[in-house]
Amino acid sequence: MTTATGIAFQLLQSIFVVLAAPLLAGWVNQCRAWLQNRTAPSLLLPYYTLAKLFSKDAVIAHDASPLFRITPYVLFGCMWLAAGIVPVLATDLPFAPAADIIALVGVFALARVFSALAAMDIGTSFGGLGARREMLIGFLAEPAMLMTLFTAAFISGSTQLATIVETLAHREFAIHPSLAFAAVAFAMVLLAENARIPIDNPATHLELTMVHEAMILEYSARHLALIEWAVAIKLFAYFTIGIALFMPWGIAQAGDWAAVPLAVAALGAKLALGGAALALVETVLAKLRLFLAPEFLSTAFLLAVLGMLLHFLVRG
Amino acid sequence: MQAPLLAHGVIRSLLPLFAATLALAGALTAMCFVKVYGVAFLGQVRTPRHATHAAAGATADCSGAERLGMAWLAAGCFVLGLFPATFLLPLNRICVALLGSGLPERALESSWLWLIPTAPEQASYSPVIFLAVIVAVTGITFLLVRRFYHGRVRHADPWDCGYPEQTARMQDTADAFGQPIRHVFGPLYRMTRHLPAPDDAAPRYFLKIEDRHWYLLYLPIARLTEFVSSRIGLLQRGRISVYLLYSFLTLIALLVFVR
Repeated sequence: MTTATGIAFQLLQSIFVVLAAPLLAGWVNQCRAWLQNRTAPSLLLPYYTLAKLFSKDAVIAHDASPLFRITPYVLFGCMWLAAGIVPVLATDLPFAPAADIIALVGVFALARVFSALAAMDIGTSFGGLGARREMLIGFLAEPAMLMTLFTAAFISGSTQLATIVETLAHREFAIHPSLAFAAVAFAMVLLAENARIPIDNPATHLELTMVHEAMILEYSARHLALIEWAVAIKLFAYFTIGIALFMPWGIAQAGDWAAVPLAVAALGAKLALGGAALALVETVLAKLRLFLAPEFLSTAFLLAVLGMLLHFLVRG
Repeated sequence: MQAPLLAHGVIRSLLPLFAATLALAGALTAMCFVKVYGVAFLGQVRTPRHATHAAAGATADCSGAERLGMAWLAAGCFVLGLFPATFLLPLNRICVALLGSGLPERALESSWLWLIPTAPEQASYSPVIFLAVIVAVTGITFLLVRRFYHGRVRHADPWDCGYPEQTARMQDTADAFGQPIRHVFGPLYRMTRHLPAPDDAAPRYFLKIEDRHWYLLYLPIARLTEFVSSRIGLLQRGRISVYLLYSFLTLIALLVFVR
């Protein structure tokens, strides 16, 4: 593989993720609507929403500092970067060695810090409320997330996401009980980090229980569009991390253009399944009280720890 | 990542737990920074500007030199984070000189650009590339949005949720921001809190947070030490004649033993 094809692959994959992310959000919403016996909105609704928001005039509060206006771009940039690290379509990408799974968790933390600061910037009660709740969920979810990633890292002996996927995808078929535990923990972290039920309700607005929505309440127009888009990319990135770690079959080698259509098809099928599963989880579960979130996330953490201990026990 | 090399199984399996604890500490630090920066520098002005000036009296914004004193420390952190390998490799030499062993062979391939803790295929990290890409990607987003969409902005009052009488005093304080932490880690701390009732004539909010370990661990030890030393002190609080008596008794005891 030459560097040029590698970079072409990298660019292609990043742009693909950014463009495809709202589709996943639309699919999840559609599944939710079906499960709740509602008429489903169009699959492309998130794109229409983005287009509408981009063409509006931005309304900004008088007290907003430059930080408030920079944040949407930083959020979008962070999520785009995360999409570049995760092997979505192909492994062995040229940018991958620059950042491993710990850096990936760091990128998500950076985005979280920025959005919390922007929420506090206006000085309304909702902003501060959202910021502190988000930071609470963040510091509980981060260790659980790292433990899941470490379990996969121990199995493959590397913290490089590309190497992990390479090892897991091309190994002889073996059932890792530790990975099963890690997968459940990861699913719980995914729900929490992406502001989904049972931790937060993405469909809620103007309720005292909201977390993510409370933080972005002051945003409008293009800023809101960027944030919504970043949220969609984040969900997509989490899904692809999960796919990369727990069902990496069908992923292409970088430079192998012929394998790309298969990789896209495999990814599409897995995402369709994952999105439907997410909608199902969100339909059958109710939102937890805020202070039950620590219990939910410490369960995720314990599952991840158990997974790792199992790995050591099985390996001896 | 080097855990499989450790001989002892228990330590080996505890290691990831320590890593997770570090992650928790890191995330809590992030929360702390958000709290400090958010409460101190963001949000609405809590006291009217003229009142601040009156209260502050002679104090003024700090001068450039004062800022420089802070800035170079911050810059040091930044440089250290950006070029970790440049500083780690000289430290490794000290480690080799003192302990006789240092980083593995392959890790010495680290350069100013790449940080390689063990071996390139196991883990690598390049802060410079990382920062460059994150800045580039954010910049590209900004330019694209500017290029394809208008930059029109209107300014308005923040959304008040149907309650226009909000004042700057109603925004989050540091205490409010730490409330979830207090709730989650409540059992670990010893808290005394007094909340004023709605009909209090002189409402006063009171909160005291102390470390439980101080009472369970340190204070008993301190009391024991104090007790023992006060008993021993009885022997020492005497006159010269008493000390002479001690010497005399010791001599006699020694004589008995030597016999």
